[in-house]
Amino acid sequence: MESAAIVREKSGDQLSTRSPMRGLVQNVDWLLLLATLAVALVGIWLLRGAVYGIGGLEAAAAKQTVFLAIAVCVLAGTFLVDYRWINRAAMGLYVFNLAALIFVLLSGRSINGAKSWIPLGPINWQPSETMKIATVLVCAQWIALRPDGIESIKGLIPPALICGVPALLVLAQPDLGTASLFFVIFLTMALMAGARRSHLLLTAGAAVVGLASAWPFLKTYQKARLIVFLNPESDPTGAGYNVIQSKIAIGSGGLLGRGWGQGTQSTLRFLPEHHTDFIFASAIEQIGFVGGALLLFGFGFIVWRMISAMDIARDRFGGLVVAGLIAIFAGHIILNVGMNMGLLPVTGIPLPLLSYGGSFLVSTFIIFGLILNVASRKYTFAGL
Amino acid sequence: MLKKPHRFRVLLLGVLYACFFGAVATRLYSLSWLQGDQFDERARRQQTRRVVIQPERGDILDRNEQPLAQSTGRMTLYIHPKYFQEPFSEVDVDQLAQFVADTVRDDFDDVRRRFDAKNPIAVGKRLKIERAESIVDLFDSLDVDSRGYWLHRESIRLYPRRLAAEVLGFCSTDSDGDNIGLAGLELQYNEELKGQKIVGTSLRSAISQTLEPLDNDEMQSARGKTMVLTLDSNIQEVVEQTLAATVEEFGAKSAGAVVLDSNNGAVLAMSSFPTFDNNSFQRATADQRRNRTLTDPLETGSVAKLFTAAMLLDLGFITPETLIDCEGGYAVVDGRRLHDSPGHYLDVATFREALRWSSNIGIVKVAQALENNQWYSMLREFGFGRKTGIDLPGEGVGLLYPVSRWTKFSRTSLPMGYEIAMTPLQIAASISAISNGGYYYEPFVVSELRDPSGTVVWQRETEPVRQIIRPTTSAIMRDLMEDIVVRGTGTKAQVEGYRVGGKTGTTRKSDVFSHREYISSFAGVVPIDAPRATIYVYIDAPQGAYYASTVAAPAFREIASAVAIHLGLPPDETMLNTHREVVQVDVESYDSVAIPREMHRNLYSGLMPDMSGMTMAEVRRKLPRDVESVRFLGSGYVSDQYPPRGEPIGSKSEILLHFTPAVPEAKLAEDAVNMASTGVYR
Repeated sequence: MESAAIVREKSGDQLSTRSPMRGLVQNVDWLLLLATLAVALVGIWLLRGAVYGIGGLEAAAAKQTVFLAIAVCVLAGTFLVDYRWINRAAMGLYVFNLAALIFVLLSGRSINGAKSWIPLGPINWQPSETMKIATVLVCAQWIALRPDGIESIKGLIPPALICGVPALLVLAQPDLGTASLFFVIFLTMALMAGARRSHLLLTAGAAVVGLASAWPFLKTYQKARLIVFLNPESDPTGAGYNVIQSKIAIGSGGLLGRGWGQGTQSTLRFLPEHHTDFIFASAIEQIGFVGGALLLFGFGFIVWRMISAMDIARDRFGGLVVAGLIAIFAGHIILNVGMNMGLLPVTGIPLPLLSYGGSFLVSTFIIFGLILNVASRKYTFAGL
Repeated sequence: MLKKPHRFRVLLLGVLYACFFGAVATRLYSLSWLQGDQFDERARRQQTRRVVIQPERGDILDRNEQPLAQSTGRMTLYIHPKYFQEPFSEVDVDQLAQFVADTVRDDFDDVRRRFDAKNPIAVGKRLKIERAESIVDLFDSLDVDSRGYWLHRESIRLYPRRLAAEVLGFCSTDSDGDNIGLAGLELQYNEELKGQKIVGTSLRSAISQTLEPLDNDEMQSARGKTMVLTLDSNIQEVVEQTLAATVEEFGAKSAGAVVLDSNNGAVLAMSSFPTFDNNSFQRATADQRRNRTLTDPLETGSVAKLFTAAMLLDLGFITPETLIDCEGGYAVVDGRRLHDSPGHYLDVATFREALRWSSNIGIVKVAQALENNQWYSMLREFGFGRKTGIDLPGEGVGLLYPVSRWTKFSRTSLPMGYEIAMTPLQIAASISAISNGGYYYEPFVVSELRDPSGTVVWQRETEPVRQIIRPTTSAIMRDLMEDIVVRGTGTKAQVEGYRVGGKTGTTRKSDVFSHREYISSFAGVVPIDAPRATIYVYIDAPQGAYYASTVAAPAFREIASAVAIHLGLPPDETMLNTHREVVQVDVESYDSVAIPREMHRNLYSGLMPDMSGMTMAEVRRKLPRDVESVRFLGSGYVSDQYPPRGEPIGSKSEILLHFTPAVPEAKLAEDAVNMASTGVYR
């Protein structure tokens, strides 16, 4: 395992003496890129179908198309910059996002009861989205610089803090779903970095205790969601409403679905948030079990390509970054789809590539950009 | 990068995710494949609803297809404030409330308060559909929970012209959501107007119980029938304005008018004052809502002299030229003291003259020829005491006592329109018959019903229900009615360019004892030579002036002019630019008689005869017809005269006659013989 100093020195050499572009393009994981774009386009098609005929929302699909174009540009930018430059910028990004998180707590715009947005002209920026990525970068940096530290309980504490501080700030918004994602990030990265099995189990145990102790601080509707998760039918028109409507949407899609734009649960507005948090249910209502299985296959394929990108990463930092990003991406899918199907509590986590929302789409594509970045540079830098 | 244990961990991660995807796929399989039908049923159950839809009420149009009543769909927007208070900040709700307030055109504070309510509440009632939808679109785009707001569709009734309120009536919605007519045509034709209830299954959405309930064609075909009225809103408008203006000018209590098509009974206009706006009928008093022309019995007064005249002429008891001794304005008939209107005192006059000047004495005297039962049955024929049969609810029958209940004054009251009452509509219908050849038509308001596609499904047939007088009698009546307007009490009813006829009526109200109160009325026909429209107008309790000739006749003229214009009647060329000859009456010297002009036709000069012992009628016959000024003093028989017998007299001569009541026994017997032989009614 190389030291960080060497990494930095070598990277400087490589950047100045070789033409990286040819190698980069050769080494791009085209399968990952194409699968991503394919799912994103299908996502816009399904979004269009979900808001079909609903006056106030019809423009969402068109806006999302524009966001996708922007996201692709951002992906290209993220991909072209050598991730070791990003490595240098990581700490700055982290601090900046941390400041932004504190700022939104103090004066952010409230949407659906949570203060998590900063309006930036035409778009709303959600610092917790970019914070996740910054956290992954800084955490990977820290662990990569201390090859063996992770194996001790003392070495686990700094990464835990790196993930924990933003998690607490997000929790205060309050956004339980995103906060729990930071935990998934930490666990995944610690697992891949080689933390001891006993430590990992301990951490998981601590999280359960922590969650239980956070109970008194939760908002009423969050508590209700958790209670209702266990038995949605106990409050079918109140807290259980979303899950019940979501399950009805998914179930009534049947084998082949009701057809594009024909999802009556969505168009008749029974399914709330059917273009954002419950887009999955809305999608399944349109495309049915068969389409849903294909969609899940698409997500599974992307995650598989990500895992293999992690596997072949040439340095510890790159590998850990990919591990953390997988945690973000897959974590979103797990939490969102689980919530849509009534397997997990309702937490307000959007579904990557499908849910409507500009800043979320862009940050998802930053994830892809970084992973492609790492994966494509596996052979360009010898001796890592 | 990866050591051996790491390779294992990559595998572990892969397996973990694979497990997750497997779990999700299994769940998906379970939900949409295994339980698909069950969820589909649940979706169907919540997305559909057994609906009972009350379709739009049918429109009401006037004869020119101008809408008088229209129904239109509206939305009421309800919110459940909880779903706004929880997810949104105060500032955001302020902005939302501002938008809502702007859209529904309501006060911001009022709307904002509703967002603070505990329970569901309407924030915009009966909004135009576009407005309701623009608010829903905003809520949508802000991701407001769909349980937080919903729409309820309802139908509202609009009366765009604000005309004929009492005729149209009004409607409301009962607890089942059915619209029901409560008054007027809305009540009478409720079944036709309300449309077919649709019962079926329709899609519903989470925010609207009846959003797009059924396809538009079905809604359209369930709509109530379109009703075409006989009313002419142009005429109606003039009638309403005229009544309002007249009431104001004379400080009257109320007024009413009916305009009928003389030849089929179609109601061209019908109005009462005070009236109301049926768009907000809840605020109107019962007094304002009443259709007086339909319900209120009026002691018809002098207008009834037309009925008396028509009866007597039709029975052949008199001709227009029959002479009557009107006894200078004061007389006792059948034991009752009668007097005529000051300024219109007549002595011996033709029946035409008596009617022209509305002589009570003249009419009552000739009416004594009638036999009670015959009289009663003719009054029934004319429509007294029976409903006209108009297609409006709440019609009154007026008042006609059976012969058994007649008093000793009845025979002297009935000829001049007392002890008997008719609603304005009954009068108009009867006058129509008298003028149109004797054909009595049932008045009606609705001429046509159309189904929603515009096909005529019913049309009013107009057949006279009975003939009340002979056509020749009717022709004489037209002549007499025109005479009244040209020369008599109705001169202020003249309409330039048209020949009109009619009769004034000034009735002292018998139900007011504390002070004198009158009803001033006018019944007339335009054009009188070929009747097209019959107009009856009355003003209740005018202050100051109360004679029909100054109160009701001008109102009639206003209405008749409008009728002539809006019915497109061709002006009568002989009537254009003709100065109408009007008899001037010297009201000051009430004991002087105005001798109508046509009596001057046969001018001749002669000597003053000996008139001592003569009655006024005899004097009349003896005197040269061109004498302009005769002063009668006292009553009875001539006791003194100037100039004395044998003096030459001419048209310019001043003649003075003194009468004394002393009547020799022989004279009475002579009178009785005279009456039988000469036909002069004394």
